[in-house]
Amino acid sequence: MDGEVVLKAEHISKSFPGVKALDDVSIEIRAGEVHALCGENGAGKSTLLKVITGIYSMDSGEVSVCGCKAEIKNINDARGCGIHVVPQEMAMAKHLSIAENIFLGRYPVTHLGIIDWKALYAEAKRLQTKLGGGAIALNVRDTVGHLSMGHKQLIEIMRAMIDDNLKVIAFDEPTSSLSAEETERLFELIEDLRSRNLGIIYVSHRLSEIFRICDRVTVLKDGKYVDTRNVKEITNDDIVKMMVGRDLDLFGQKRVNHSEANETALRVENFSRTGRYQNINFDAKFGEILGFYGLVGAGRTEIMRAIFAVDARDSGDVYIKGKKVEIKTTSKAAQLGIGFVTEDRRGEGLMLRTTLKMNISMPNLNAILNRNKLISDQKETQYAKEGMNRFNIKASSEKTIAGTLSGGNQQKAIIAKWVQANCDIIIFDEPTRGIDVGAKAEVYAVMKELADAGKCVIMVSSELPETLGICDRIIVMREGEIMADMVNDQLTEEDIVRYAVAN
Amino acid sequence: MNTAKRLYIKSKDTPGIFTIFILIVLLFIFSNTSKYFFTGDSLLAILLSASTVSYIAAGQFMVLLGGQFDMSVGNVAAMGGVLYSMLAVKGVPVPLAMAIALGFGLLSGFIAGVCVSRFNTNAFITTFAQLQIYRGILFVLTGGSTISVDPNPAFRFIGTYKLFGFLQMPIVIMIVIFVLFWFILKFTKLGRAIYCVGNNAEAAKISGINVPRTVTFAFLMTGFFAALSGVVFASRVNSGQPNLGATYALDTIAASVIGGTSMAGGKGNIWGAFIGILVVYVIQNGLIMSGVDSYYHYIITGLIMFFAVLAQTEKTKK
Repeated sequence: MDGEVVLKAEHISKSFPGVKALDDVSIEIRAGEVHALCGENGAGKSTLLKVITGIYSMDSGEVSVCGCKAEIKNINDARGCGIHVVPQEMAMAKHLSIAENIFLGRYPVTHLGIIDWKALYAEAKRLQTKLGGGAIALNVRDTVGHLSMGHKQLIEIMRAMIDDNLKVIAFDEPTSSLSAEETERLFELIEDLRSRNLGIIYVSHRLSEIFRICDRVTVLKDGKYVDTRNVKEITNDDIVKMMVGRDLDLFGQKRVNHSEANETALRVENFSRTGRYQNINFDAKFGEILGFYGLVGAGRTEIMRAIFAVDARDSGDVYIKGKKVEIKTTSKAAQLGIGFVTEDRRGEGLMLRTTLKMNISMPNLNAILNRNKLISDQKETQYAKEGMNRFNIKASSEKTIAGTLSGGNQQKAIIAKWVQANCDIIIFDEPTRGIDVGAKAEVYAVMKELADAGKCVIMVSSELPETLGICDRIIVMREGEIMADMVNDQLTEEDIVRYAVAN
Repeated sequence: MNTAKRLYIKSKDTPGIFTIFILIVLLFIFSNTSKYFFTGDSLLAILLSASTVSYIAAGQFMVLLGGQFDMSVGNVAAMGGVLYSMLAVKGVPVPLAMAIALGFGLLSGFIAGVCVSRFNTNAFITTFAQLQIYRGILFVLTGGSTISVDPNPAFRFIGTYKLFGFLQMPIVIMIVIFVLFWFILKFTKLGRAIYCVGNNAEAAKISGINVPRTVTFAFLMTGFFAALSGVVFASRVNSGQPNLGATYALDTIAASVIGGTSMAGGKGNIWGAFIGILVVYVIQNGLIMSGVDSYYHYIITGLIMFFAVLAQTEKTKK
């Protein structure tokens, strides 16, 4: 714990047009510690990582490695100094082999300058052995295309290990797309890296993980340094308080559920798709929040995508307000008043290269037409601003490019576009993945508000606390089948996990 | 931030400003190198020479905006002109001949649109295949020689009539087309859908936009306006030319790129594409009028494209 300081960043400031992303932030990482970096979305965690690794240039401040001032201008400089980041979204050349991906851009060459394939595979195997555990199961000659996120992460870590002078390895939201099992393996791996006397930076929204594996935690808020504490000396609530600057009741007041007597909004009958899900039947009522819990791969997302006609199904019918409907296209689904906040925010949720305004109006262009059925810029601006205010989206104006927003604000923009489109039935697929507690609380509040206003809210989630925290009814799935459909009246985590996991 | 810097940044956000700047510089240079260049007649002549290709530039712009592109436009134009001429020679009434030629353009665009959007074929390969097929058909139909049409006022109307006694039809049509495209893209749901699909087709799909229909519409536009371009050109020169349009696909893509259109789709400005096509033709005509071998225009157009892309690409955030 009291290892030497391997990385020190002092008085770092960085501004983007209109935003001070980092304001006099300092952090020091010691050898042999796992150092958590916490903060809400937009607090500056990612920016700090990007400044340290030279992806962004800093306006002022100093970075030193092992006591020497380091000039890091790009990612190669960072590697040269022994700093490596395992990014949240891992970029892989999916048609190349594992070994090639590990050495991407740094292939070993013979003295003739051609690629030394023998050395490449041998080195890859050596790294594999060095890493042990989950890495052993991989064949380094396989292509990476079909690998799970957990395995891709292993490849990233092996990339880092190529450098013998590796001193600091940073994980950016490493567990956000891992299964429970993969998460366990990652933790073992991090323990192992710590025992090799590396400094580890761990960026995560999941506070439970911080208590599980981190030694110290540094909290940022709105681009400013708040405090660095020993994890052993503080509680969950302390961190949350530091992050948001106030006490936070994540799930808020328990909703009084009157939905039993309500009309059925959505009814799904006999949904099946070979190998994905079988015989799915359920109702969702107006005014209720229906949760779908299960492990990753239980078939929940696939069912939602089939309802919305994004993906095909083999059989099954959909009824809306008791009437059978044929939904063949997503436009039909949207017309029928179904909204779909997808899991993949950046890929399927937003047009990242264009304005918030155009994003928010996209599902309901009819709302911004004037009397002559033409798009009215004035109406569109008004429409987008309403959505932004309603969900407290932090952006300098409705003309801000969506891709420049933080994850939480992007998520709120996606919710805004469906709510503004007056959908009666809104499906949320992992709505709080990768967003911070503050934004989470806001998303929960929005979902409850929608249910209170009589809308039918369906949430697919892999997180038990939120499923138990806000759902009125919970459907538990396992391997493509519905195992339980329970009213959430004093249910415990055990009640649910029992159905979600095979005996 | 000083004014110049702000203007510079604004010009990056607004496709077209850079292009206008290039056009002004070119006009300035050529008015110095040729004393005939900056006269009403010669400017109209340049406009006329650019006009028929500009219809295709508008269509190409729309397809690029939707994240695709169309390589077949040149041969669709040639097919349009040849069909129009051959049918007229055979005594088919001019309006019907024109309708058939334009119908061919729509059919061609429809096929490309359906293949690309419903069967997910690659736009380059699909339209390139069409290009090859049409080239073959053109040779079979004409044996490679020009189809001359007997003097016929009806046939020549669309290419040679002068509005108000001086404004030639091809130019009038060009203005109408660009205003129409501007209108569609700015004010209609369909136009907006093209922006959305070009930006992120998946997100557009999830948001209830009919992606295949939108993409097919864009290809219908290139097909139709390419055929129209061929028809108007045939009418203007009184013959159908099977070799028309060899450079049209690249010229029109160049025009859009010079005008600030993103090759990734979803970003661009129709007036940028308009000025882009003018830039291409001002270079060609200006060089000829200045007594420079016109082959140089390829080099200069290429260089301008190069700098246009450099100037208009957003700098990576650092």
